[in-house]
Amino acid sequence: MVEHQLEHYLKTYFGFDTFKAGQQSIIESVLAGHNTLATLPTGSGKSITYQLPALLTTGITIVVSPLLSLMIDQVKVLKAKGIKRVATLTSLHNSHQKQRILNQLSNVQLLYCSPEMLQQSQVIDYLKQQHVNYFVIDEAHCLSQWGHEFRTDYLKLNAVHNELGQPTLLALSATATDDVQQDIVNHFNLPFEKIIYPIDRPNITLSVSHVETVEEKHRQLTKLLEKKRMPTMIYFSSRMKSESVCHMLQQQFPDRAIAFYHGGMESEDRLLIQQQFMYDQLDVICCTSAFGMGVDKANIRLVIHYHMPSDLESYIQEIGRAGRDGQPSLAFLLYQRGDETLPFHLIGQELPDDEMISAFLQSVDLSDKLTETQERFLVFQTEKNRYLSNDLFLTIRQVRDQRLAVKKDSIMGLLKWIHTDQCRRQELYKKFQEEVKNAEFDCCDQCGFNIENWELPDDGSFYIEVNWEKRLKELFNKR
Amino acid sequence: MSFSRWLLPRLKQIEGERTPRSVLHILRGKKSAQTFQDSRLFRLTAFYHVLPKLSVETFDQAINQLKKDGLIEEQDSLVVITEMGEQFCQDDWRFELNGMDYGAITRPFYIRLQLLIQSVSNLIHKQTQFFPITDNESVQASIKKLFNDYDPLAQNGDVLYDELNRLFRLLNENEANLMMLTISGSDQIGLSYQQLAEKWQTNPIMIELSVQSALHQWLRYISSNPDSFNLIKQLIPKQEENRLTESALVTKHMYNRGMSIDQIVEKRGLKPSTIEDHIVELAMKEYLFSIREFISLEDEKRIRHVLEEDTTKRLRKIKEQLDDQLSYFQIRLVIARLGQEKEAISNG
Ligand SMILES: [Zn+2]
Repeated sequence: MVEHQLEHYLKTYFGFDTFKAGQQSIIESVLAGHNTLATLPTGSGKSITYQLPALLTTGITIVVSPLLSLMIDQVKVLKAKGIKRVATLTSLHNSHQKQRILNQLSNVQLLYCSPEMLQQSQVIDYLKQQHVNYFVIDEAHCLSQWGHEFRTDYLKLNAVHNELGQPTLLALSATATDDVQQDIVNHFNLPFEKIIYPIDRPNITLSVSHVETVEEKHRQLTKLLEKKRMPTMIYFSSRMKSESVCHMLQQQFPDRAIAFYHGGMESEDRLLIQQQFMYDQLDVICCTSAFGMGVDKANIRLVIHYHMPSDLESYIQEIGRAGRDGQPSLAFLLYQRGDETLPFHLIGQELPDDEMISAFLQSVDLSDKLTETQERFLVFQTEKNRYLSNDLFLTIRQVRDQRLAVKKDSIMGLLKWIHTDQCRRQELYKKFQEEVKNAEFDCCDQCGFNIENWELPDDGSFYIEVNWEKRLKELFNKR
Repeated sequence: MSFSRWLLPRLKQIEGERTPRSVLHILRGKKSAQTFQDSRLFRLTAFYHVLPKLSVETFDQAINQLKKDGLIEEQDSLVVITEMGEQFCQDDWRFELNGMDYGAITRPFYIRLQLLIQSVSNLIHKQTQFFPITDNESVQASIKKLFNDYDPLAQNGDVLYDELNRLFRLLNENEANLMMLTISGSDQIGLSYQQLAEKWQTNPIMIELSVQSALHQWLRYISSNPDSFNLIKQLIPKQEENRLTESALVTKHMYNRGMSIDQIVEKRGLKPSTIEDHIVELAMKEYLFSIREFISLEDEKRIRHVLEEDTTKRLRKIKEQLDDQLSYFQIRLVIARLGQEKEAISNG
């Protein structure tokens, strides 16, 4: 398709005048019918690379994603833009709703699907009756056991793809190392066009601060926020901590709008907080990783990590929310010795211990003892190795240990980065791309950046009208 | 004011009669005859169903706080107000709540109103894309339908502006400002109760009660002046009670506010027998309506017994069989109840 034609459709459907870097070459590759493996950094419009091809063709495009909330957000965005022939098929639907969606498949152009839904033969039967144009795998790094989020239910996608008659594949990820890319290609055993887009962000300054105590952590946090009012995200690994630090900051900064956000809140409250942040009504949001799915806010100036995440990939994605407008922004990580215990503890909960494995194999009822990920792991490994292995216990334990080692390596990788004395920019991105661009503003604390001297122009603050009569006039545009 | 202190006068009403949890059931609007009856018996109808999402933990915390402060005690698990507690029962922050009449419809009404305002405001500011403040699809559908059915809305927002202006004027300055901050428009998203509580330096439950109170005032005003609110009245969910005759409905509202038959008779200037007719109608049509205030369980059993024996249903004869100890009104109430039970069985 001619270039200006594609841009015409981009304008019609999404209201943008031009493509962001990387988007167009992916779309062209997909439209040409090439199986495509592509990486695009968070916030650079990954979703448009399959939404546009889906809208330009008759038939159905299937998007597999493990992130329910992300799918729901995207469908909301599309519907707000007037694009209605989209649907989701997830475990959140009851059988009645599911049937209704399946009955209307011929009216759907874009179907978002969780991987487990594609394990159901009923779903596959309905999909086989449709003409499937494109088979999109979002978060494709979940296919790789070297990836930071390996998901066993992704390993059946090859079979599904074959059943559906091998439609054109698009495997997307924000970050994929060489190992991960190779795993994806091997899984489908098909030729792929690779479009790897650099994920480094030259407008983000990187800085890490080592503290001895919690009090010092809080002091540094306060000192940083004191500098000026700006759209700020603070990441926490614990819901409780996000609330308590939020309350502390509210007391210290009574004239700022500060709120917390985590997965334990009511969905209507979550919507309000998310929208307020988008509309610049909130200065600071104290959140867990539950926040930010589908949030595309351009002017976030500061992303603080109160807790470290569990791998470099998550860290890159989370700081990637800063400075999407290209303006100078800062990623600031607070590290206190021992902070890594939390992520180590969390991976322990993701995989079964020896006792769980042997109990599971002896069909002991473990229903209330296993976490969801532990159970998924055990079910999959048992099924996969049942006829291949003489000693199922040893085999599964070996796989478990291997996964555990990968996860521990991920945490160690991030720890190593926290303790590095090299340039943080080089160290953070070199695993993911061959060449790392120079910083456009300050580079990092190892290259001479000093948080004390950090300055940003003041861009004014949001004012909320409190008088009801004036506000009512504003709402209805009466002067 | 803290939630626990606000609770205290409510607990005073049930002192020595009920456990603290019975007030929780009333606030949450539990649909049981017991709770319904308690609300009326202890003059707590204003608070029925005003905090449907109140958690047991939050409620128990407030009760424990009152105990710690030495304001209440529990004796045989019944609430007792201490001497010190008595001093704090006077200050009664009732708001303008009317939960028995409006508790069940307030939330659906408000979420529709909020979505309508958000939609119209965006339309006026020529914003075609926005995120609705609720994910609830049936709410979204009802507003979409309103846009289709009601032409003036699509043309401009003047009707809505005018109706809202009059509603906000009903409230005091402070209430009006609070309510306005919960509203989302084209440029600004409403605040959550948590955030309003921070702004007003109180707690989210007290904010929720203030919002409920404002909404109940609105609902009462709209119901009594429906012709002045042609647009907003369409957002009020239809209630079961529409099956009641109009006059019985007025009696019901007065009764729910705690008035006795005699008081209603005087207030409305109607005959006592007319009001009694209304009460019988309520007993017949409203499953949750309790007749215990007018007849004891013992007497009800006696009447039921006679009715089983005598199928003629002639009131006069029944009254004679009961040695003229019970009134026609009481007998009719029991018959009405029986009729309702039969209907329930045949429908079920
Ligand atoms: Zn550097």
